[in-house]
Amino acid sequence: MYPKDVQVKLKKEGIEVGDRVRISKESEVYEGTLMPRIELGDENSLILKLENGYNIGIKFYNKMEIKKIGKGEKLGVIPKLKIKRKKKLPDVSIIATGGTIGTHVDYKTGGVFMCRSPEEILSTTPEIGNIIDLKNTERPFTLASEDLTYREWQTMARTIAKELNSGCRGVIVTHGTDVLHYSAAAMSFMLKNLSKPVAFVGAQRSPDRGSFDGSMNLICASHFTGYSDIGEVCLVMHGTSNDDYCLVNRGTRVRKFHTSRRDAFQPVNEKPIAKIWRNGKIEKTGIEYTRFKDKKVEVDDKWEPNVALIKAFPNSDPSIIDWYLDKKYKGLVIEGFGLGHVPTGTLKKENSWLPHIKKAIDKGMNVIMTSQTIFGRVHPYVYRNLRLISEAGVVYAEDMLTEVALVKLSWVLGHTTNKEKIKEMMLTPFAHEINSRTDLNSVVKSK
Amino acid sequence: MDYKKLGLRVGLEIHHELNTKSKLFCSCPTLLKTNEKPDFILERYQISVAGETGEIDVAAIEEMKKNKKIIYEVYDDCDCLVDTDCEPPHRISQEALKIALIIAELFHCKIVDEIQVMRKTIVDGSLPSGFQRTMLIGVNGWVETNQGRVEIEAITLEEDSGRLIKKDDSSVTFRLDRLGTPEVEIGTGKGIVSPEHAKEVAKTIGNIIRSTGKAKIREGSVRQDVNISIKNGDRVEVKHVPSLSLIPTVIEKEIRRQEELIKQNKKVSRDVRRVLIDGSTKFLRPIPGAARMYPETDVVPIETKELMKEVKNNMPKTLDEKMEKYKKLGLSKDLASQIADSGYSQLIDKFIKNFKINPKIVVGVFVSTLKELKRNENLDVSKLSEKDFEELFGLLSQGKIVKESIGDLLKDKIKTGKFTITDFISENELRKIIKEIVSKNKDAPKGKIIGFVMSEVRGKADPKDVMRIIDEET
Repeated sequence: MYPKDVQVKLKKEGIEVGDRVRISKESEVYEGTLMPRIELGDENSLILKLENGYNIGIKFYNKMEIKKIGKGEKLGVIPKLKIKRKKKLPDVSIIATGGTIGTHVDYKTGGVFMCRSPEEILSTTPEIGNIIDLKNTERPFTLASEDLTYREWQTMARTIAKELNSGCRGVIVTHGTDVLHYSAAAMSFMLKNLSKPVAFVGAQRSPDRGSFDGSMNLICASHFTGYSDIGEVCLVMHGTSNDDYCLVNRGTRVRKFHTSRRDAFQPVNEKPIAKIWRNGKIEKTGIEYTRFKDKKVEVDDKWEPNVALIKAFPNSDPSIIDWYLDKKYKGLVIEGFGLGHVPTGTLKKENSWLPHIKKAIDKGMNVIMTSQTIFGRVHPYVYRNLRLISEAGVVYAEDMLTEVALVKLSWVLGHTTNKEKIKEMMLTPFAHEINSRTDLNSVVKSK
Repeated sequence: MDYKKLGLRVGLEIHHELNTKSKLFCSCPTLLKTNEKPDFILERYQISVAGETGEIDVAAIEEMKKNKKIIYEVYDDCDCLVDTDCEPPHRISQEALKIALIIAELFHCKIVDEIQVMRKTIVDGSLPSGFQRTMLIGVNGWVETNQGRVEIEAITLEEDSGRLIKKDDSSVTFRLDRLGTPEVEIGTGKGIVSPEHAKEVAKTIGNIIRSTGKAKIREGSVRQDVNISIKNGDRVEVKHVPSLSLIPTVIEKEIRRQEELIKQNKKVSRDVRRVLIDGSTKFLRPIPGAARMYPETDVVPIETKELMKEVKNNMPKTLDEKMEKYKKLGLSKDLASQIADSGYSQLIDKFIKNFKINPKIVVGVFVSTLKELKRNENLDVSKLSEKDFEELFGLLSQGKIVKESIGDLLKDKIKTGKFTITDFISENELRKIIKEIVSKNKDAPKGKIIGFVMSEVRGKADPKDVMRIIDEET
């Protein structure tokens, strides 16, 4: 958007963004298409796309000569794509929720729009039309994943269930990557008695480029939802930096480990269920999973929104816990150090978290402990400080991921307010989120 | 030939890598790989992105049909996640930006007020992202030549692509060391009047770029594309003409090819062609439609006003100023002008400054030795990089080689990729050689004898020993 004085001048000359214009400045004459102003840079420069394709910024001043020399094409038009159905292939629906995989770059302006229809997502990967029969496409909302709330999760669960219960073999959900693993965890709890494949798919690179990674993710997700005997919520994303195979990671056992790499999503404390190649080859790793059955799924999306996550750190002020208590929070996940420590035996009493945790639990707060080491299992008894914390009533969440514990706590608190029941549910696996055996290879390894 | 009557139009695109500390959009050095084997291999595929106007690019279709596996050779010492398309670009190299602005000034270009980095779609796989980041720096400049001014239409700054290593039916391999190195592209407009003139223009442009002292000198650091058309013909782009001297031949042959087609009433198609050794060309692919370019939104547009103040205060020395400097170093006017003409002035200046060697030796290497190797031995001297010369003068200044052996050492280097320095010969052997030469040249002055001995032992003996033994034996 150009500033006011520029807009006034353009209006006076009858020029709209997208028109062909001639700008005379000092001794130079520039001709090209007037582009919309992008968010970055000097807002007082007019952006002109020259004949040779380059955009340049020309500093605006009120007396500059700018003339319209032609009407421009409409900018930001998204090409329409018709999807041909192939009846013989397995029925799969796609639910588009937003994110990089669901962005559309307008090549003229470079503007990124969050408004792609599922059809447009397919235009980057037409191959999937040869793998699955796209039964339906839904777009319940379009949001960057960081903007999601539990309300969208509820909508998401209902939309997935509707598709699965109307005869689909599986569902692909396209989603932003930042919160992808939170959403997958939420669906793992909300979709009760699920026995069909639900693939969460995102992209770390934008679809405007030839190297768009979402393309292979969609192909592998199509094989997964159309043909595999796995009946769970899984993330289907690049396994390595190559475009060779995707990992099928359980929705409650995976996390984003990198800001930008394609293979950012890696499993924690458990192997992936399978590897899946672009040609459809599936290789299971041998871990247990729920088998495919053509059964109805139920939506169980009761939810307690007043749940928070806090992280222990050196020099921390534990009165943050009191703040949440005052705000009537029902649940708190603490991401502690190591086996599940928080500052306890500090030299200065005011640094100790213990009295604050005790008080919160006494007042009815449910406190869950996970670890910021990410890998491994928390343990309430190894050291005295741990014993003190657990004796205060903190529930140690075994080998559950922090993000999963947070999601699960909201879901559990949506079902019961009974303290004992809450503890029991938190420590009972509903979607393979806890495993009493820890995989031998569960650690991040450097090359 | 009356080229005017022929309606000859020639346009040059000169690409020249810049010798910056880091790549254009990351902090990796701009060196070529130092390990024999890649540290790791990436295997990727690229999708054909849907057209913005519903039209699909001709070049894109050609490539799309192939759907090849793209293999990248990646090196720890010169690649990072930005190169492998696993991380967004960092802030643009300010060094590269300033050099490009200096070059635009040297060509009298109008500098754009605000530079916008663009993504130019590239479908051959040479860039892991699938696009090349490029930006227009200046327009409407000119360069003075013997046949008058030639327009410089545009100067752009862009990231270099990966190096093609091999290609077969199912895959194509690129090496990513060079990827991301900044390069300028100078595009000429009207004013080239003949094939010979095109060569002069290309040479002049190259010399001006190198006069900044910031041009990269190594194999493949300069690339020349030539656009040619005649009346009733059409534009043909000849990619990567390997040497300046081949430019006139390429143009002449293309004129004849187009004339022949016109005579046969055939249409000249708008092709990209590649050069064969004799300067004739072969079809490569159709000329792509207008390159698809759209803004690189991960990089903030750059205002040039403030930068230009700095640039104008740091312009390189003019030719006259340089001549003065060379004269002060004791070089003749003739030699000084040969330096300017050699295209190596930036290296000469640097080596004279950095090594305690007689400047005439340094100059000699660039104005005569290289020419001789090219002319007499038909060697590709462009294979020699700045690093190679650095090594050579290092050896010379440490007394490990003698100046007489420079020609042979460079010959070896071009042929084998190594400087072959043989071990010093023993004192007894040296004495034997010297005795023989002295007895054969009884009347020759001492200086001549030293020369004979040195060329015989070719760096295999310490000059001090040679002098001492000659003194003892005469």
